[in-house]
Amino acid sequence: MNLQQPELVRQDPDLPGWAEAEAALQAAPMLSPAIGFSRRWRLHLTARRARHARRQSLWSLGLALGGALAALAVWALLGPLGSPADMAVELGLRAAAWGRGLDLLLGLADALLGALPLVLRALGGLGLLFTLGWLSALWLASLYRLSVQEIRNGG
Amino acid sequence: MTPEIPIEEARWLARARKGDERAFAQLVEAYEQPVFNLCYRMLWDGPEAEDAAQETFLKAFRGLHRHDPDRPFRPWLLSIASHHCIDRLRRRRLRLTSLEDLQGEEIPAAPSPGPEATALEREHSLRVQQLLAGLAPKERAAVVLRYWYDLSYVEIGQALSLSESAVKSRLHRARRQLADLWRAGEEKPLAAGGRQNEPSAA
Repeated sequence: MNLQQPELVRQDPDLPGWAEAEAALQAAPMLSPAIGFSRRWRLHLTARRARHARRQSLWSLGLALGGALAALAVWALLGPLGSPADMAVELGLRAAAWGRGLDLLLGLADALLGALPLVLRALGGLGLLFTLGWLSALWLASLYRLSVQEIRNGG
Repeated sequence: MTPEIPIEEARWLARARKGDERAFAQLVEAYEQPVFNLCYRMLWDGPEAEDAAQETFLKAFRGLHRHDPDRPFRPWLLSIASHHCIDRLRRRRLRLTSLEDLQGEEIPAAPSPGPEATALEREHSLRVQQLLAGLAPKERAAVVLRYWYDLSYVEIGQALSLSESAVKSRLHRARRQLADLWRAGEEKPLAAGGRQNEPSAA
């Protein structure tokens, strides 16, 4: 197709009706907007800024409320999340203790429960700290970007 | 080689880039006519063209940091206007607005020397808009940029995100379509009326 294009362009003037259509296009004037276009543009810009500022306020409020709710949720979830694990450990130990013939299982469970929690606690604690830190940073960055940062050139 | 940017314009641009609204308003005044004309030729609706032109300037003001200061401002601005109008036309098509809906409205009188001239001008204007309305959005934009702004194939390509050969191909297709539409128009009388609030010629 590309190789044919110069030929196609050369053929344009020979198209029946094209000369008249081209003359009509060339004779068509440049149109102007109604008087006061730039003044209306400034009003448009002011309105846009006001809308942006309103949106920033809403974002600010939403993020503050969202952050507070998320903190509450984390706080509320941490307690219940801890207890089932403790209960499971306790149940496991009891079950193992009840099964007199299951010394091997008891030994294994003991080894697991004795050794793993140390590692898990350390990793879990670090993971939780990292996640909370990252979420807080994200929340603060969003708060700054959407609610505090200066509105430039109309938002 | 890029064309030289007028000193005054470069100064306005530099100030506008720092957020000076008044400096940008100078650019709005300088370019309101070419931008509006492009929007009107693309959309064939006075109020929508005004709105599109306003949006174009807002987009340009917001995205001024993306404009290369060594390149002329006009093609960059026309590129924003073209893309904006193409998007509007696509959305309009999604809303299933038919071409028939766009016709049949009266053209208000534009300032002109006399009633005969007015009638002729209006008929001519309607004819041109009907021709353009028969083209796909990108082809319409290419034709407008070529015939009203005298942009080169390369500049049109830059404005519409097309290669030079794609521009040539689209323009060829558009010319063929325009010629067909012209011939069809010769056989059929003009549809009465046009778009409301047609703007005045410069």
